[in-house]
Amino acid sequence: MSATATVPWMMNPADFQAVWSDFFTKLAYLPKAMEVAKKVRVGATPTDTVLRIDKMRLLHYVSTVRAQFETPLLVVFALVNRPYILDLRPGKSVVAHFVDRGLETYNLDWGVPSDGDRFLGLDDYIEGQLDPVVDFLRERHHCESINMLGYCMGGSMTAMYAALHPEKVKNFIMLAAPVDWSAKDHLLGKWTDPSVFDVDKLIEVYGNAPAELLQGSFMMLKPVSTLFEKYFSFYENMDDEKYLEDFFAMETWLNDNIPVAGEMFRQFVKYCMQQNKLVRGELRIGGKHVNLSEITCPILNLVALNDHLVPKELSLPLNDYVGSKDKESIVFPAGHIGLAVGSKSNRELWPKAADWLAKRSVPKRGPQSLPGA
Amino acid sequence: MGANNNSAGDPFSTFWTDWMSQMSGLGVVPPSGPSREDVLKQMRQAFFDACAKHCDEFMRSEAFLDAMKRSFDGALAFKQQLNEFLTRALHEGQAPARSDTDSIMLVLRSFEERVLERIDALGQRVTALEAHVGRVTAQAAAGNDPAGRARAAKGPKGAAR
Repeated sequence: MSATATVPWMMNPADFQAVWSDFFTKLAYLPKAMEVAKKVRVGATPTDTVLRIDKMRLLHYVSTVRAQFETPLLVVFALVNRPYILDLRPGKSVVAHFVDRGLETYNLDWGVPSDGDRFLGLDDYIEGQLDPVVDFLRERHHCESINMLGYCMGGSMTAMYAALHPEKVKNFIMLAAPVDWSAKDHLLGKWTDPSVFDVDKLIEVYGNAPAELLQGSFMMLKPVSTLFEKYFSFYENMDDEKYLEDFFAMETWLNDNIPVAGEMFRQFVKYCMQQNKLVRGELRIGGKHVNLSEITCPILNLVALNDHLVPKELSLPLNDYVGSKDKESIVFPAGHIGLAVGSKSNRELWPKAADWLAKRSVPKRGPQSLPGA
Repeated sequence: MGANNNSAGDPFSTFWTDWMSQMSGLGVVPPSGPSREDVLKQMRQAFFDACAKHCDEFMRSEAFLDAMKRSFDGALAFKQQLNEFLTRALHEGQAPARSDTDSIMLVLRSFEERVLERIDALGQRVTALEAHVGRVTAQAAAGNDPAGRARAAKGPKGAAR
């Protein structure tokens, strides 16, 4: 019997030579990879800033496609990262699906909070910033209500807003957004349990929730994947320029973390994640109770099947709490980020979502023009 | 969690057993000739999957949560002491510390709230006054207009009264 047969996975000299040869070939690609990393650009669609409130900017996606609908779409992203993930690169852009469908699309960039913003809370973000933005868009497009798309924490905030101002929201797309935190079996649920995580103390000491803490926590949810598998995959695909461009664009976004305003973080963790006040109807914003049953507009709830950050148990229940008659959920086989940037979701999910929204938006009448023209 | 109750050797052997069972589950068989690279990749993937599963189990365990809480509390206590030290040092040098800017921010927010409440109240008062002026103007117009006077005279409540 040969040595290969008795020790099946043992490498022979020829294998070693092949591995070393491959290693040196890959090494030769390193300068090229560094060049790609330096050149990588994020953001596929050009934007104009049409409104500023404090540090918040409202970005309008500029397109050559003529607007076909009177109702604009406002994308509301989470406060923990930058919003360009929804328009990362050509072919990996959620925004492009709506823009190409003829929907006037806007993105809310909340900005980076400084130490002085530590007292900004849910009231300030939802009633002080989101509401004026919605009013601005209603006035700009001469419409009573607008379409909204909320991603992750931004989706939860949009649900709160839609419950407080149902008359201003025409259609609502939720994207991997948590609303019901009663399920505690997921890892983040265990880590943020009040017996483990003292959010009051964190905010008292740090002011804002540090970006490094948030990034580290998210990374540790899947340590093997983020610390090992990713780099093995990078090593194996170092000779593929397209892969490198996508990889570095994604890395740019993943490492572009921002702190979250202290009071906002405290309220979100304490009232939503720990006390689950949103679905209980106990959450108060601007002196008013947030009651999800007040939401009556059509809802499309997009949920990622393999979401490690917002498991489907946290986002699927939304449809049970709202008062809408026209409501639909799609559970798509992707992860939290893959739902936005994955090739499969861009090929199969987003054209469907854009059609869903287009069917429910008001078609443009008369001469079609860009707003403000 | 089971991991807490087991002896120190158990998680180790469980991990390797799990890896091996995952490999057989994937159909990893001793390589023959050109498929060796695929087999090695399968082995690696099975290893990562087993690692990920055990990391996840460990990070949910009471032992990990307790250790996380203790290290977190320790880090916060250290940061708080550092904050206090820096505040004292800055105050000794007649310089403002973060706690001072926080106090100013709180005062400003309270001031802003009071101003906004006052503006709201004034806004409501102006709306009420405008409504009243509108009514008075309408009544005056009805009084000057012959048709309005006739309508007012016929009206059950006598709007022009």
